[in-house]
Amino acid sequence: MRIFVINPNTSESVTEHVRHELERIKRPDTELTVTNPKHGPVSIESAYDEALATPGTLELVRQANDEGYDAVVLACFSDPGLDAAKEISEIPVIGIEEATLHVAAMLGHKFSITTTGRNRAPTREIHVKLRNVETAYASALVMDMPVLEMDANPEEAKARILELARKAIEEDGTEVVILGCAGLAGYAEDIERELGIVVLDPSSVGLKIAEAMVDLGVSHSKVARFATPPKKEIK
Amino acid sequence: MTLRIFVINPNSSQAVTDHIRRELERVKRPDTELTVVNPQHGPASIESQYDRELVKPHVLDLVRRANDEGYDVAIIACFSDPGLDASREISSIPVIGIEESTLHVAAMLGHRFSPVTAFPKHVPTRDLHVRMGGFEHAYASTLITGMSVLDMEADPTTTKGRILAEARRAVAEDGAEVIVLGCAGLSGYAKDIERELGVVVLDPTAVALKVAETFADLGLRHSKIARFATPPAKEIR
Repeated sequence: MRIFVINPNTSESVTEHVRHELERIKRPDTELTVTNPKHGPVSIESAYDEALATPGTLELVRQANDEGYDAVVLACFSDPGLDAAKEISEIPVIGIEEATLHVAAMLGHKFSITTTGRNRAPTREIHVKLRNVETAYASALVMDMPVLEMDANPEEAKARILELARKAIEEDGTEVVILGCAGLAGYAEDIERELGIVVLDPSSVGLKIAEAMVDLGVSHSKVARFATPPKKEIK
Repeated sequence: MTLRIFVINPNSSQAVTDHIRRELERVKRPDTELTVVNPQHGPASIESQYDRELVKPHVLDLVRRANDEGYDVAIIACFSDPGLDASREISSIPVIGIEESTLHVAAMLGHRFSPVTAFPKHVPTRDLHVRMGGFEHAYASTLITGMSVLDMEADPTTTKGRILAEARRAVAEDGAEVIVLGCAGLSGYAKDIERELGVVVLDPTAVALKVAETFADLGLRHSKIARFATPPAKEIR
């Protein structure tokens, strides 16, 4: 099975990190390609960054289709360009946020999502509405730490998450914690051991859902929402 | 004092831009000065999420230009508000989305509204945007013309006839009390349809212009606390 993983930001260090973690948990018969666009922001921390990261991401989705991959994983927790990617793709495109929110809703009554800064808490609220999982949303855990710093400094990132998650369990009714950034890939196990409740690593969940979709031989419905866009001039 | 409003048609069709300019010139206040533009690059019309994603970087460039050139407000004149949140993040002047502003106004005018769209393909987008805006309880249904954006723009008579038939059905069957013309290319069609139909028909581009004038009058700005906070400065390769 050939899975094409896109890190939508342009930081090779994040791509390496995601590749390293996913290689550890993939099935033996899964072959991974992990890549990032050449152009666009080095990290994704705003709607502005998302908008600029999307065209490069869409080109890579096309490449995965052209090169005969079986599934695509978008490895950024805001799933930039996910709907557009599904429109232009024959193979399944898995957004790590969408996949993880659905899995989290099956694992506990309510989940909390770690986020880089305060400006991303509203994004989490909007996305849980979009994904129809509002009733399972407890809170956003604001780390106040840029993506690239989380990637570079695992110990500090884990300690902050642990502190915020403990508080959320007490105060917000949280039963599942989601590490809401692909740069946190691989941090879940350590935090889960200390915390004693499920901690989800979205890139891992995204990969396992991709493997499941390919095994099931399913892809996106083309009736309306993900119908192929009408051909037209793009100046 | 003159109010300067920068209107962005996010698609690259000059014909649509001219149509919007003509209609807005008729409804603007005498002291409002309009600049109506479109990006040079990008899709000729916006009929999919793919099209929406491709127009966003160009819309953002124009929003920056509106800020740099000292405009008072910017309007994104496409009924899916492409790039609205990102625009607000990088803008110190208000950015009005014609969809968002029209849904708020529609919710004040009747118990439920029905937006008009081109094809069945667009119904999920309407559902999702209604949810995002928190308007589920005011949403009746989405009405379909079965005509492309550029056809609706080119053939007003057929378009109005189709909308009228669909709107009558929605008023009778779906509980619609307000009809929203969900495409900037339908700009100026509202009055004729409203006269025949007997219920309120909103032209989102006109509504947005009036909301923009109101924001400027009141001196309002987007909150920069969280959702529309200025993005962190970083390298963009």
